Amino acid sequence: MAKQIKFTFEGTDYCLEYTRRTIREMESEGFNSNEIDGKPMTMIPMLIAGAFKKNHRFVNADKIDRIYRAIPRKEEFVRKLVEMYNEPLNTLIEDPEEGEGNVEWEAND
Amino acid sequence: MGGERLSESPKQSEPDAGGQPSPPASSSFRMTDVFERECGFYLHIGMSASEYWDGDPCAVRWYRDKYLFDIEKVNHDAWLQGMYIYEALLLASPAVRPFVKHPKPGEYPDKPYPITERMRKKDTEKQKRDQMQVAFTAFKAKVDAMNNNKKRGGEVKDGG
Repeated sequence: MAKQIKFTFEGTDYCLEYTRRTIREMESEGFNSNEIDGKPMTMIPMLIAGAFKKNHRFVNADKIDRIYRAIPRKEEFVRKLVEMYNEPLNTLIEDPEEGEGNVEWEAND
Repeated sequence: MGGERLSESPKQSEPDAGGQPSPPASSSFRMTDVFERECGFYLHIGMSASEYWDGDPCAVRWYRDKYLFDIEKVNHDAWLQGMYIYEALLLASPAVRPFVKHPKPGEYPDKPYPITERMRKKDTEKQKRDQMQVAFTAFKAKVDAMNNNKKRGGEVKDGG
C-alpha cells in the first residue's frame, strides 16, 4: 500500500498521497524536490499542495495554508511528505521487498 | 530481456569518458522523465495506464513480481514440453530402429506427469486404491476357490 497521511480538519477527513500523475503535474508547475533545501519558501507549499491533488483536488490554497498552520510537528510532517513524494520513484527502482505501511498523522484543530 | 530490464536502475548513470560514473541526479533531474520512460514497460506487462499514473505507486512491485512468475512459468512450460517430447522420442525410437525384426514402440504414459501436490496426492491415492483392488480380487479368488473346493468335496461326499 502507498504511504499516506490521514487527518481530520474542521470535520473533514483528509488523505494526502502522491501518484505519478500528481508528481508529473507538480513538476510541470515548477516543483523540484532537489530545491527544497535551497528554496523552501517556494517548494514546501508546492509539496504540500501537491499532496492534496490526488484526493482533494478542489481544496483551495487558503484552506491548505490554514491546514498547514494547524499541523503540529511541521518538520516531521514535511519530512514524511518528502518520503511519500519519493515513493512512486523508489518503487520503480528498488527491490520489491520493502516495508510498507501508512503514516499515522493527527492534527490538532 | 526481462531480467536485464528489471535490473536497470534509473538512478544509475552512464560512465563518462574516463570510465568514472557521472554525478548522480542533478537539480535538473525530473521524476517525470523516469515515469514516462518506465511507463511502456509496465503497460507491456499488463498494468493499465490509469493504474500506473493514478493508482497505488506500490502496484508496480506486484506487476514486476507477476512478470517474473510469468517468465518462470513460460520457462517451466517449455522445459516440461521438452520432457514429453524427449520421452516420446525414446518410446518411439524402437519402432524406427533398422535391423529389428519386430519393432515395438514403448507405451506413451496414459496420464501427464504429476507436477502439483494435488496431482501427486491423487496419484498416491489411486495407487493405494489399485493395490487394495488387486489384493481384494486375489482374496476373493482364493475364497471362491475354497468355496468351490468345499462344494466339490461335499458333492463327492454326497455322491459317495
